[in-house]
Amino acid sequence: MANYIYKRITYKELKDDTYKNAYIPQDDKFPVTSHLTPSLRDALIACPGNDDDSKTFMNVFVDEEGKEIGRDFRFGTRIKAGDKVFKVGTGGGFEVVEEYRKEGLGAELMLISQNNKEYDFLLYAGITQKVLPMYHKLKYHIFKVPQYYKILNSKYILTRFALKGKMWNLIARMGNCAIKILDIPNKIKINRINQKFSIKKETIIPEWVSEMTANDGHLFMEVHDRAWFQWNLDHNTYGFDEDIQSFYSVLDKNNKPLGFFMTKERLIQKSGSDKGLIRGTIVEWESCNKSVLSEADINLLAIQTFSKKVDLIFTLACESATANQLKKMGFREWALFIAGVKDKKKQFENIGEQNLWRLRYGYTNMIIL
Amino acid sequence: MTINDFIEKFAEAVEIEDASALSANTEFRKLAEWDSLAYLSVIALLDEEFDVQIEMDDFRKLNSIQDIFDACQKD
Repeated sequence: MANYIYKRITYKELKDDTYKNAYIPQDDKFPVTSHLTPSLRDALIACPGNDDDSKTFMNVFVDEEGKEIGRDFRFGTRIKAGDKVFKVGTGGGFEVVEEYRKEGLGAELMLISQNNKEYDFLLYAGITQKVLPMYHKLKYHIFKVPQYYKILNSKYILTRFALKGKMWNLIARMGNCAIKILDIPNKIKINRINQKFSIKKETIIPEWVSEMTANDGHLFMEVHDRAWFQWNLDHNTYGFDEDIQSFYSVLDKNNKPLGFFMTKERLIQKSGSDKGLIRGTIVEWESCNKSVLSEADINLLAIQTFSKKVDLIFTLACESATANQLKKMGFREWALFIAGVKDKKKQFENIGEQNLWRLRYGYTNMIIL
Repeated sequence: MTINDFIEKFAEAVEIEDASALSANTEFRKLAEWDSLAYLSVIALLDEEFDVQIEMDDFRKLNSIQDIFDACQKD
């Protein structure tokens, strides 16, 4: 059996920059190359869910030479259960060097977080089908939400299927013309709802957002208040020029807030068939009156705000009525979006009931990545 | 529980179809089926069937199925 040791690095060490002495990063082993970017470090230090520098910033396994062979990042967030708010652990950047996967290092990392006494609850989002059985084994409550995508640029097809050459570029241009023609009904709908509502891009998150999310009617939710949104608006993981996040208020004709939405655009830089594409996502939204401003309306309002560079956009259908309307807008189904919660002390009997949760794409680390 | 009963349960947890291919001396880390999910499955088995929680450092020292069985008895 290979020898390796576990190290826990705290937020104090991250802030003091002393964490660099703990391990040698494996620059070329992980898809998240040079994972701890200055941008991610700033984001984690500024995270409003972190309230104690002695808490874990990173769990890392190192080999005999001190090289990092597995790690995950930790940070704090909060959930609201009824009228109470609880601190919750979450994280991301979970990676194990391939030759150590047989050692069960991935399981050890998950168990470290599970057995860590810093938090009574754990919350994760963006769980892949590949690791989902591990969450089942650890008795997480799993939530699955239908995820939809819409192609804005036929460059997506060329990149995805590695189609190159002048002929394919010509076909792609024709494809983009077809996309624009197929989008005419959406443009008509957008013009219609633009007469009812106006949208305002915000750089400072308005105060009313905290109350609107907290009172959306669900018993459980990750706390997405003004401070949390501002953190996500101001930070992202890599700091690329293409990586931007935007927040819009939706106002009625008297400038009264009716809702909001938040979007992000990310350059896909992991190796794979999507590398180099720009992905847009509608990560958060809310309406204070769903009969006036529906989830589908918000999606329509959001589509028009993405920059021209975006190749495809993603959204979730959290309300049952939304899915059909998304399909009419040209969205297609993608793999399910999966989140999971662990109530370590079994404080809530009904915490596993998905319909009691306000779920959004922008959960835990999904929004800053 | 006998070691043979334990081997059956181990095989079920790790999803090894033919438990007769295993013995008390089988080095479980060398099994083709051994990975993180198998690891978690064994941890869950020990917790549920034996009410035993083995520390990771201790688990790392175990090599054979017999070692795991013995660790459960000790606790």
